[in-house]
Amino acid sequence: MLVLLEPQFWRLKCKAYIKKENSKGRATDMSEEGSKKEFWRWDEYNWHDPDKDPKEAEILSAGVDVGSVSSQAVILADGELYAVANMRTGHNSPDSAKRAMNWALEGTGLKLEDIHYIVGTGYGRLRVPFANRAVTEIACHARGANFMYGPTVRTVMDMGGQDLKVIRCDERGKVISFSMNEKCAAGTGRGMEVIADLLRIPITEIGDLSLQVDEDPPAISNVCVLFAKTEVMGMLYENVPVNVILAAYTSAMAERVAAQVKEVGVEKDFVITGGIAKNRGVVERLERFLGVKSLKTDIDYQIAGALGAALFARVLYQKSLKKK
Amino acid sequence: MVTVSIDNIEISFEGKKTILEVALQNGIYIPHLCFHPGLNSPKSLRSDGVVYRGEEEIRGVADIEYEGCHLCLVEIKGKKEFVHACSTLAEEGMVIYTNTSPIRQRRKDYLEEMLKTHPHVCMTCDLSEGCDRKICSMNVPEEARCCWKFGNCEFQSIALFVGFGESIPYSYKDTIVVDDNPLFLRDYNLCVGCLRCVVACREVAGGNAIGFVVQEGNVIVGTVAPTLKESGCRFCLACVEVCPTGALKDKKPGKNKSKIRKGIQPAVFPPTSNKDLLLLSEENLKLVPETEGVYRLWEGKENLYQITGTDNLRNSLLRELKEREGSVYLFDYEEDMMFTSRERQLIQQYLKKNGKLPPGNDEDDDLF
Repeated sequence: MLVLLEPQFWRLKCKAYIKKENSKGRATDMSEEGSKKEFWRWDEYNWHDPDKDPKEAEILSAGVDVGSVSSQAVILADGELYAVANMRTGHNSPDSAKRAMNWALEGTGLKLEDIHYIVGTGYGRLRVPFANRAVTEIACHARGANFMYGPTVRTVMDMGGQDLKVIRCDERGKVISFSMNEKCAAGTGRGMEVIADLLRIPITEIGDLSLQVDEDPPAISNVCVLFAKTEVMGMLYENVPVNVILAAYTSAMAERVAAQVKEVGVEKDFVITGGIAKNRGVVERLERFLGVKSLKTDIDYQIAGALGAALFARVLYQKSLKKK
Repeated sequence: MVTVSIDNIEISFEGKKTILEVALQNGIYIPHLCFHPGLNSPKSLRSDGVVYRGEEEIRGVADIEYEGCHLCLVEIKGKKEFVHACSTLAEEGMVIYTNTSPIRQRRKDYLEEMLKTHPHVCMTCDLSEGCDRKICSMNVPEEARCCWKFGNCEFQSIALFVGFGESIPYSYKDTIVVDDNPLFLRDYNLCVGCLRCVVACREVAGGNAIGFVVQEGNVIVGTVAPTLKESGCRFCLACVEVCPTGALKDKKPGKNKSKIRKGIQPAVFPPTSNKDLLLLSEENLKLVPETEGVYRLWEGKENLYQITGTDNLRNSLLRELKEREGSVYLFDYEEDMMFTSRERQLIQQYLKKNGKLPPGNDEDDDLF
């Protein structure tokens, strides 16, 4: 019963606030348009650097990160980013690993056999049939972040599809400390997808929309995805504007995540990787709660794990050469 | 030269030593809470008349002798009563048993008494591993939840080693949390009254800032004056170092290590899961199932070398055996469908305790 009462509680807390927001005429848009659209879908893509000729590279290494929600493949040419593919993980991990890899190879003129060494990582890392080695995602994320943001990175927060990892590392990208939440989807990408679907807002727009409020409403009282869903439904019923709902949800999420990061301690430089890093609403609120800015980069935040794996592949290949 | 037998193992040593010291030095673990290897036993310390927790003044009966935690009880052949291993000298010809079922029961009884006022969900909750300790899915009241020390808590591992009955009630003491300095915090709700801090302050730090009173049979620890300064505290944090619970908390973990503190011998934790370690050999691997799970490699019983999750335990271990030919490893394993997340849990625990990855897991990182 308590759960059902909670939306009520939220309304009581911010009745005045809703009134103010409603009067601005930003009412919830619940039109039927695009009713078949899958709002949780984010953009899958592949990319390769057209200016590079992979055939000239001495070492081609690749990393494949099979996560619970998304899979990435990264190809490095002599330690430089050459090709990337980022897509959803299907129901079958060997298949998604293959698909991601093939997609990354697409248009490069390379074949799988041309890659000298491949490392698998992520939740499905042992389901990458063509990988030479598997390396834990903890090490890969730290390594990837070290590459993406430079050696000043000390705290890496990976907001993954179904878990949340906080990794502390040294200037060489070596893991020193690690904390993880995997028992609960609150504060993870999957949680955000559920809310996107419920509110019928494309997931890529959530961040910006959630920031379109003058001041943050009280955070949703329960970040548990199931309870939050109930609460959000209650708010929809009350005609709470969608941006306010999103603001309330993202700040609840950021609050929760901030608490976990603080546990491990935030040492600068701080970076966020994973899909949620693309959500400005969460990132900006998180930065506010933690009192630190996260570094930004042009490289896709989602590929950190695969990138780290590719870097591992490179050194492991070099090591295997030395042995021979 | 004195020779004794502990759990049917003959041990010889020089000089005067207590049974507990002899046992610990020879790799036989006897549970102990009030005793710390770097300190003398607090047994026979006498209570003060008054202590302070912040501004709060607590009076109790003075001059009562501290009895000890009773967890180190052992049996000596020919003696009717169990004796405390921490305060009984090992004498020539003694035959000592540390792990008989009556002793185990007595230890349990004493432990259960302590657990009544010390939160212990951390040991009973099915979801405790992999939990972020922020939001409790089990709806445990806030004051009874796992504390910050989870995973690296001596009291927790002692309690798990000693064992205790099901559903022991917990009542919140609701005592004050004193946060009056930038270095450490005192949450007396977590204090089990072992007096290690008292001994550390007096013996190691050469101070006398911490004392205790006895109220209705309960030991209550506090400072001898309302503020730390007045108590003569020199902030060496020796007390924080030896506290077996989360009651004394470093505010900047790892940063404030005074010389005094660094000089203290580390506590001896109970052996945990490495009881059933097997030698990594082809013979032993025949018993390992070909299923998903996590295996651990050990260099000797105490040194964890590597934690790895795999989809095929036997094959992976066979590969390890081949790759590591020539050196001796022990292993253990657990079957787990979700081996990647179990692996992370174990690595997380290891990191928390040791501040670095297990050497085997670290190998790759060193390549850079």
